[in-house]
Amino acid sequence: MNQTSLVFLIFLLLTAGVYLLLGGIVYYHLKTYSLKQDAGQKAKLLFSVGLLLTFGIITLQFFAVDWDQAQATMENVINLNFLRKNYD
Amino acid sequence: MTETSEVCILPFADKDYAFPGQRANEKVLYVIRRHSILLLVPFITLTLFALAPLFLYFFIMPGEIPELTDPALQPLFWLVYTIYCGFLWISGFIVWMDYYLDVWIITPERLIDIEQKGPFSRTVSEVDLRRIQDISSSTHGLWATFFGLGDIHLQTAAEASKFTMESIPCPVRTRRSIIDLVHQAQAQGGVLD
Repeated sequence: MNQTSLVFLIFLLLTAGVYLLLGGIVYYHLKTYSLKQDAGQKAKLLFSVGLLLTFGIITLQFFAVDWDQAQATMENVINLNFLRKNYD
Repeated sequence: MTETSEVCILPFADKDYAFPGQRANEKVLYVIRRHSILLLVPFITLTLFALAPLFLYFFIMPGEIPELTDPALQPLFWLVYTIYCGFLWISGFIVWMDYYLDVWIITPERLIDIEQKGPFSRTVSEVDLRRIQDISSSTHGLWATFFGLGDIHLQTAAEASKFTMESIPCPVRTRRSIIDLVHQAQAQGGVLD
């Protein structure tokens, strides 16, 4: 695990926290205030499934990234931009 | 637009709806929300927000910073983009929830106004149908006339307070239906001051 992956892991955990907070608020409102037998009850299911699916995809993508190669490429990009700026 | 030219039909509550604070044997007659066309602009905006990073990454970046479009960085782009889409998904539902939970419920006895302003502000007020003295409907503007949406103003007896149902579909039909219900309620229980 290199530095870039660690930064992204922390970012991912923060994202999960924010998802949980905002998702919880939306779910609670739809569960509590929707009229019975109305679209809100189905919408909260769609919302939860969508959010869980998104987070599942994010987790899979996190493990799909070749972090060593990604870090090397990003360092290369930063160095290239630094050289370009100095050259200009 | 004349009153008779309005062709839309007021959506009658066809299901056995229930809401918090409902009285025993109180049947929901109408559930009215703002016109759904009002969701169009926020959802188009969210769609543009979803497409903008793809456009930037695949059409602008290759010319400006080609190194960032390196195949080694593409999985990282998709990771960040999916996180971003997750936030858009939540935003979309917050917008829809704001629309959906903002509702007027009409029963044979009363009109309940539930106003949802964002996730943390909710106001519920009600008026007894027997107290209603004056009802007017209005449609202003090109888009409102084109899409058949307008406001209904309800004036209650002996009070300065006024109920307003904003941007609802079929304002004329809705007003007529409410007038009929008010007459029925007053015929059964008398006029309240």
